[in-house]
Amino acid sequence: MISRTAIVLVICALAGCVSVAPYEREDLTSPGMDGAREGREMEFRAHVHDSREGATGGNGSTGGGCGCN
Amino acid sequence: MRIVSTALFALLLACLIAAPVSADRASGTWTGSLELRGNYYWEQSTRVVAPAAIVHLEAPSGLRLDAEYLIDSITSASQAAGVLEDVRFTEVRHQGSVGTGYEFDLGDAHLDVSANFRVSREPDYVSVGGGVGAALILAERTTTLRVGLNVLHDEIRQRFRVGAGMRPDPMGGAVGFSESFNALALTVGWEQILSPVAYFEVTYQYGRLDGYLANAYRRVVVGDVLRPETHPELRHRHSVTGKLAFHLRATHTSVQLIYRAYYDSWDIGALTPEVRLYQRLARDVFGRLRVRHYRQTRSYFYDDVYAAGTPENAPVTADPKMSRFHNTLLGFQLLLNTRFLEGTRLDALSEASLDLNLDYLWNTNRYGNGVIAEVGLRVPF
Repeated sequence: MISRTAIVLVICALAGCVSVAPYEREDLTSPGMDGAREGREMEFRAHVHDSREGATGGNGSTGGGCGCN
Repeated sequence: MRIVSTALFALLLACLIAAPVSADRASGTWTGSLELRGNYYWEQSTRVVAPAAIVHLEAPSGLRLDAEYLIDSITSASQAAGVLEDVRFTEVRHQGSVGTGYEFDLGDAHLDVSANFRVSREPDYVSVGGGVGAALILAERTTTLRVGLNVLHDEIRQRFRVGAGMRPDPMGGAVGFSESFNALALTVGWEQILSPVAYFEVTYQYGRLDGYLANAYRRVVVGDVLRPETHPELRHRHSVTGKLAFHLRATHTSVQLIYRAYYDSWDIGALTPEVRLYQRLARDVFGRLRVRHYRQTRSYFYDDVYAAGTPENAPVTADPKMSRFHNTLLGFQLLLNTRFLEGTRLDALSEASLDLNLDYLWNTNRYGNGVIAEVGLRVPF
């Protein structure tokens, strides 16, 4: 638990020091770094996981009388 | 719940009416995209075909509008229907959703607000839901803090051979069947850019489900008799998801490490590590390898065999996803930007992107292994 807390604190500290100018962010928009690009694509995966796993979904994304709750 | 849905719908309607006014005022142009997706899922007892069309618009004023229509055709064998309906059947679900968003400039910060509304309908099920979200964007867009609230109301009507909304009575004839449930999900998140090539995200979600949470078709063997599946009518869900993404310039490789931890009031706990590896293969061609492992414990009321003396009011289930199991997914994606169409007769598509996806799922419970295939075309305008 202590080590996890330490990791979180280190990340917070690093985050506070970071300043990345907009012109430095080209790599952050590449297909592998742009999480928003995959949003629609991942919806169907979420749909499948909702109906087949007990620990996902639960917000009605699946619908249907398949007991996906 | 109905009041919330009505309020959300009214908000979206107001935004739709206001949008053209803003566009005219700015005398600018609208931008956006059209996305077409074809989804397919196969497993031993189920086939799903789900085409979808999504339109995204952005007004010169900055107002965003989204609309989506999806058809979900599910062909299933007796898995859910049990011995009462031991036939293959096909059910079609229609889903429509609209959403809107706008980013306010607060000087040193930005505030992005959004709202969405969704209706899903099939012969035995109606689901109405919506949500609102806000994102506070700080430090020259280096830090984003998010909060979201979603609600929904579902109506469940069972359809047997005896008629819609009816259930066969063990004593003969049929009895009425109509159930519902409400759900609420609260999400908070933090996104942080760490460097020009790395960022992380942390998201916590709380979900509360209240109402009929079983499967209306499923039957459970208790002793030597069949009983309708019954689940507890309240469920609290908690999940935390972390993601770390980084890019390696030298090899044009990106890596996303994702980890999700989950626990709920039915005693189901789950851990889901996932790795996504992205590689640029050519100037406009990218590949993605995805490995996801999911492992969960069983719910406190799941049992392989229920004894004859199980109390009438005790929850009983035949739901495979209430059991202890795990699965592993291996997926590949090929992403193609169609810049090579520039200057040809198909120049209008030269900024489009095409993605082809194929996943295989190894599953240890009764559902068995599965295949997910998906193709998508996104055309900006």
